[in-house]
Parts: sequence; structure tokens; C-alpha cells
Amino acid sequence: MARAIETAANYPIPFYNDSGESVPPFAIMIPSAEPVDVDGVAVVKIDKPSASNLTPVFLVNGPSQVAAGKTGSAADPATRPVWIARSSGTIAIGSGWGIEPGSWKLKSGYPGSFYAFGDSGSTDVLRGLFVAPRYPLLTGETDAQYSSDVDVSLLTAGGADSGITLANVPGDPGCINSGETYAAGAGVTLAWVAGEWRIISIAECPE
Amino acid sequence: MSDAPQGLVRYTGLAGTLSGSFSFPIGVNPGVATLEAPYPARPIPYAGEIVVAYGGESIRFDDARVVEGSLRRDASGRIVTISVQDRRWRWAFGRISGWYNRRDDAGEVIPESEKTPRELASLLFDAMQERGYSVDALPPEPRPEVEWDATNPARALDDLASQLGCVVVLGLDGRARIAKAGVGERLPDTFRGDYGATVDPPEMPDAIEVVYGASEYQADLELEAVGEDDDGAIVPIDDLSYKPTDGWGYVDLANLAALSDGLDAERAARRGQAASMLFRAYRIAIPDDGLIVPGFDTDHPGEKITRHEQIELLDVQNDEQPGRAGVRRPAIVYGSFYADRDYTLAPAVDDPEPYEYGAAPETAYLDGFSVDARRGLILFASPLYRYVDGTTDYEKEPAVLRIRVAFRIRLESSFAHARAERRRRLSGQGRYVAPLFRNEIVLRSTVVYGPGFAVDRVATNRTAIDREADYYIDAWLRAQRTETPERAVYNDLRKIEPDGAIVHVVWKSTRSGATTEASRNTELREYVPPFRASRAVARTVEAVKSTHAAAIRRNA
Repeated sequence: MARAIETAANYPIPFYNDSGESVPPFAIMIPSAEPVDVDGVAVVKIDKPSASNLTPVFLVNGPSQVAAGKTGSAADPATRPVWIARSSGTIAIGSGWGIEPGSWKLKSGYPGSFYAFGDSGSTDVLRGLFVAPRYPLLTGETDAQYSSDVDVSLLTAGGADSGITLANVPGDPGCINSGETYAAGAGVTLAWVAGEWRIISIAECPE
Repeated sequence: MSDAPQGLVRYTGLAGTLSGSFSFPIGVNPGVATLEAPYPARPIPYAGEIVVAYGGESIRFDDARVVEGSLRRDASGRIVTISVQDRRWRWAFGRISGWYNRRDDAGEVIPESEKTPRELASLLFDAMQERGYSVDALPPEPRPEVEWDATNPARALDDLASQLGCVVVLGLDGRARIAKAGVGERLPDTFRGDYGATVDPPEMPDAIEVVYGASEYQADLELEAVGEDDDGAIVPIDDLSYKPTDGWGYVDLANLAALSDGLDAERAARRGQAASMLFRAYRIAIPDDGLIVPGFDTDHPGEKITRHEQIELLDVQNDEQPGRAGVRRPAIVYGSFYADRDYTLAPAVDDPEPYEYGAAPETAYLDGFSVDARRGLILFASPLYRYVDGTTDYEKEPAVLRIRVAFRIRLESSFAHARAERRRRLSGQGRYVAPLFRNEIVLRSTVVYGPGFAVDRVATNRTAIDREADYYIDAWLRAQRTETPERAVYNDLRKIEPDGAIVHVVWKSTRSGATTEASRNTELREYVPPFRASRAVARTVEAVKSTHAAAIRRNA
């Protein structure tokens, strides 16, 4: 495992900081939809994770701070383990970490299914070595009664509200769109299917 | 001188010799006989035998060959004059290759390359197709480094012998041998016709000095980050034309596209290639008033290091690796830089102290680097930088680095390599100095630092190399020593054996008489190019070839 030195091999993806604030070293970042042209080069725009921009694609900043409106270099944690800034807490091998809205750091038990390989220990930049599955499964609960698309609040591993809401999530055609109406707060499992989050199972879904 | 000839110098197939002389010097150049005779009825054989006949006895020199002939006509008829070389004409041919007594990094002989002088001489005699030779006069001890690259073996032998105070002698028995220069028989004092001490004492200089190979200094030299500008110039990174307006603090070293802003594709590609050196390339920092290298400043007072071209970096240190005799430690770079060790952005130290192996924290750069000696660059495997205050702010700045490395220095005044020498004064003012070049002997001078890079001392191998040099000076002096330069002429032909002292014999016969002329510790210059002079010419040619070959190797 190469150390986190700023080389094209370690951080091959150039990005443009569109977040409006400085990106700290090793930050978890969410790519925006459209690339931006920077000096003739198409560069991925990134934003800070928020309550509403969760996708299954993440980028991780290199060891340098990147000021707003500047370019930096990132790694893709779905291709190999990457050192990512994290909140405090104990890392267990294989434990699940995820996105905390409004933070550049991963947080234990939050949605995103980053799996830990190792711990950085107690240092000035608290990091963990994480890998992210390309297509994670998320858990949440429905926000309202529904019979078709519905907003879903994602839950932490302990069942608490993560603060992340996915809007208008389509349901499983074989269940949610069956004409039945389900109560708010139904437990659901979501997967990234065909470019969007979909409910693939619901606790109340009839067999 | 009597009226009847006391002997005759003749050559195979040349009857009725009118006159003949045979100049027979020591050394590797052939002796030459010159004979005059009536034009023979049969062709003169190109290969034959020179015979010095006297008193019913003869000395025969077989395998001689005619090298020149001319014909003239006078009152007595057609007269042919030929020049014939003794069998040493063959020594101009052949070649030998080999590199022996190679030195390892520490200057010690590499065991598998080790050869005694006698073994070296035997290799050369064998390459000359000689049989029955003797090398016993060579000393057993020194291990002169020799590198033969398709070299003429006779020239190499001559060179080897002279380095060790010896000479090559072809005996009257036809066998070659090595003899100690200046050591041999006295000239016979019977039936001497003429005798005199020559007025040709050896040309002794005021001093003799062994000139060593280029000195290798070692110091912990400060480095500065440099980059390649659009015109190819290597300059400090702050002088690069494409330095961002807000400096290097936020430069994206993994993807340098931003540095090619506004350039067309071709120039952008070139810029990108140049920019890839950013924070990867460093060079020795030379202050405006010159770089001080302790040891060099005292070896060469008044000389300054003001240009990078004066420093030829090696990739090793002068010190040996522990437990690996003869293998020098590789150069190291150490200092204050971001290494992502201990999961911190802060460097291991802010203000580096002289590096100590095994001491914590580790301040050496361990990911590998190479030395571009031609451009004087140290090129790192990855960008080497540090963050300004790695806990609150993350702007990049060049690493604070030093390299512990051995290097050669070219003098500012002449651009010649700085060399050391061992001089022995012989007489006079010491103004006229004879140099002996021993490139395999190298002064190694190492600066040892204390805290804060205060110079603690300069360690050198001076004592050891001076001892080695003294051997060569002694050998040179032995070769020059002449007890009594003398020459004698005898009114007959006689057998006088050349050796380390009797360096030249000339037999002459005419119709009116015959003489043998011999010299001891001096040459008979009127007959052939003086032995030392001819050897000097040959050695100069070989030296030029060697220097040229070395230059090619060095540039490879």
C-alpha cells in the first residue's frame, strides 16, 4: 500500500473544488453531475456531502488542502483502499462507516458502507483505511404513507436518523406499486439500480 | 685499431658484407642492424638471422626481418643497404584485454581481479607469444591497477615494468626477461679501446610527485528545489516562468494540468513534462559567495565552488557499509519533509540535525532517488515537500533537505579535477616536478559534523594513500638512479649481455675493423631513439588512448 503521497498513481483523478470552502486533506467528497472545463481539461466537480446529494460514487482528496475554486487530485475508494479522514471512534476491521451530512469525514455506522481496513491511530489528521463497495445497500424508513415513489430517511447502524434523506425513491414494482398503501416509517432496503436509488425490499411487503 | 677485422656483423643471404652495425638496446622496441653489401645474386630473404661473429664464435639473433632496403651504384659496383630488425619486431603486434587489481568502493583490490606484478607480466609475455621468459625481478607486493583494452601487450609490459622500477630486456640467448632498472653487470674492463664517463646524467627533476585520481569529498550538502523551465533551463522553482501567481502552496502535484493554462497542445505537453519534475528534482544549493567544503578549502586554498558544473556527484558515500567491506554506503537524503509516516502531515523534524543511522526519528528519505550527475540533479521517486504547519494549514513548500554524498570537484580556475598529490623534494627549489599519475589512488575526504552542522573534523585516507604513493616514488627513483653513467668502445666484437644497467650494445664491423660499443645507465643516442624517449612516446600514445577510453566510459 503506497503511502498517501501526492502522485498521479495514488491520486489519479483531478477534481475542481465546487464546494465553496476548502477541502481538507483526505476528505470524502461527492462528485457533481457535470464536469467542468479547467484550462482545457475536463475535471470532475466535487461537493461536500450533504443531506441530499448521496450517490454511490465517492472521491477522496489527497494529502493537500484544496482551496475553493482550485483543482486537486483524488482517489476512488471503490477501486482500492484509501486513507480517508474520519470522525473519532474505534475502528474495527470490517466495520461500516459512511457519510455524515455536512462533514468531510466518514462517521461510524453512517450510510455509505465504507468498510474499514485499518486505523490511523491518534494523530493530527485522523484517518482510516477504507474501501467502498461500488453498489452499496442502504437502510432507511419511509417518510410518509405511500403507494408509489416516496422519500426515504436513511438510518445509522443503530437505527437512528442519519440526517440524509433520499427524495422520491421508486419502489419495487412487485410490491410498492402493487396498489397497496403502506404506512409511514416502514423499514426499507435500497440499492443503486439503473442510475438511481430504488427500494428493493420493504418490511411490510407481502410475500 | 688493427687492420684486420676482428669480427663481422652479417645477415642471412647477404654475402660479402662491406659494413654492418647492430644496435641492440633494451626495451620493447626492436634492435636494428644496418648492413651494406654488394648486390646479391639471389634475392635477400625478408626473414633471416642477424649474426655477430667474432673469434670463431657468434651471437645469433633469429627471426629477424628486413624492414628497409636501398640500392646505389658507385665505383665498386651496385651496393645494397638493408635495415633489419631483431625479433622484437613481432612485439608490435597482438593485443590483450583485462582489468586487474580493480579497486572497490573503499579503494581495496577486488579479490577476483587481484594479480601480482609477476602474474601480470606473465600474462603479457604469454600474449606476446614469448617462451622461457623471466619475471623474477618484479617485486611481489604492489598491486598496480591495470586496464588493458585491446592494448599492445609489449607496450603494456613496458609500462608495467617502468612503474615498478624495472625494464624489459631481450637477452643474447633470445629470451626475454624483466630486470631491475639500474642493476646489472659492470662494463668489461679488458681490451678496452676507449672509455669515458658520459656527460648525460639522468634528467632529475627538483621533485617527484605521485598525482592521485580525482579526489572524492563527502559532505552533507544542502539541497534546493529546482524545476525545468520552458527553455530547458534548470532553475530554482521560484524562478520558473510558470510559477502560479499565488505560489506553490496549493499546486496539485498529482495532476499538473493547471500549469499549462492557455498553452496549445504541444506546448502544454512540453510544459507538463517539465512540470513533472516539480518537487521531485533538487540540486546542491550554492550560496552566492561560493560553497564551502571543509577539506577542499584547505587542499586547494583560494579555489571556490560557485557553479554546479564544478560538482560531480557520485551515488555513494566515502564510508563503507557495516559488515560489507569494500562496499560503500549509498548516498542518503535526509531532512524535513512530508512522508506520511505515523499518519501525520507534519515532518518527522522541523530542523534536521546531522543524520545518524538507526537514530529516531527517521529523517532519511527511503523511497529511492537517483543522481543525474550530468545535470547535477537529485531526482526523487515521488514529490518531496512539506506542509507549512501541518496541523492547521496545508500549504506546500519545498522540503528542507541535505544529501550525504561523495563528489568530485572541478576547480573554478581551470575546470580540472581537484586532485591530491604526494610530493618528495629532491633538490633545488622544487620548481621542476616530475609527475607520476596513479588514478587508482584516490584521496577521500569526509566531513564529520557535530550538532547544528558544526564541523567536528575532516577524516581522510591520506596516511594510507601516501604510503602507497611512497612505493611508486621509491621505484621511480630506483629507475633513475645511475651509479656511474658510462660508455665504452672495444676494438673487437664481443659478447656483452644487456641487463638493467647495460642498456645498449652496438656491434659494428667494417673492412677496416670492428668495434663493440656499450653503455651503462645511459643510451647511445646516435644509434636509435633513446630508450626512455621512445618509451615516453609510446606511453604518451597509450595514455591518450586510455584517457579517451576513460572519458567514453565516464560519459556512458
